[in-house]
Amino acid sequence: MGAQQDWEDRKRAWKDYKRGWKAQRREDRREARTERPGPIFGWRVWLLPLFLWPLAFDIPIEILRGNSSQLVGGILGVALAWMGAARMARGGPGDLRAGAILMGVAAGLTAGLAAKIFPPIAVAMGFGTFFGVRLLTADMAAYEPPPPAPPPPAPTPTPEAASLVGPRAQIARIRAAAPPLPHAPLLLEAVSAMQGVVDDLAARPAQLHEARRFLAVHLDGLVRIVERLEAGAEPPETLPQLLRDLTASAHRLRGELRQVESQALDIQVKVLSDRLRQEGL
Amino acid sequence: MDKPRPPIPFASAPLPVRLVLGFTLLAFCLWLPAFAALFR
Repeated sequence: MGAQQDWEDRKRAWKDYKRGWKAQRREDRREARTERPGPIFGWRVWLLPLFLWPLAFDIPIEILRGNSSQLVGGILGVALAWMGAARMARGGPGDLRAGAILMGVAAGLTAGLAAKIFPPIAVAMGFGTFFGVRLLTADMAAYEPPPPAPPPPAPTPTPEAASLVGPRAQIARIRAAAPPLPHAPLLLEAVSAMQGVVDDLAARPAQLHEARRFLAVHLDGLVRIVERLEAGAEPPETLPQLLRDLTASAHRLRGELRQVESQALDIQVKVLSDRLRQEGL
Repeated sequence: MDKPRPPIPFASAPLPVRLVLGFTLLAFCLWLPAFAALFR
């Protein structure tokens, strides 16, 4: 029994070791991929080894027939052509030429070994392939690797947040203008209360539509009052009361917004507890 | 590092000429041997 347990433990340890080694290798490969400098030329390069499609049928046939030299020629042809395409797809300087040479060697081996063509002609076919590949990929040499991507643009404000920009600017304007004006403490108190509303809305943009009227009417009105006072207007006697009313209304609105949130939470809690009850928990 | 290479013949020809010439060359020198290997 002990020996069995020992064996199981050793097997598990070996599996863990293997898994770690594989993960490490995967990580290394991913790093190598991301560090690759050049661009990737897609289908134009990978089209080229597809000219060798008959070898895909030829290789199994040669396996069945047992023609080793033809089999070696076919496999080498496919492998070298694939390596050449991969080399060209890397797109670094000189990779196009190196890939074309590989493709030429692949063609020469295919012709000489797999097709048993007269060797000088096979060599000439290798050169012809090299030349053809160079011709088809010549214009890709002028390809400049794209400049590094610009840093991602600053996150654009959501429509909700953007619609709070105006109110915030108005509040800042009132705050800046209020101190020398008559009834400055009341003005500042009202504007602080409104600031509270705007901050609440920024935290809960879903409720923005409920406070739109408040933002449009009260804040605009306060800005106009401040503008008139700045222009030297004599404040009417009802102004302090109005400012107090504005403050109170802002406080009330904050309370309502919070209440709506509380109700939503209430409903959520109820729904969830109902669901739990239905599921018999 | 970068040795001066002889220019590729016909590389400055118009694109259709390059395409036809390149594909013809590949058809003769790459596809034909592979096809011949299949049918020997």
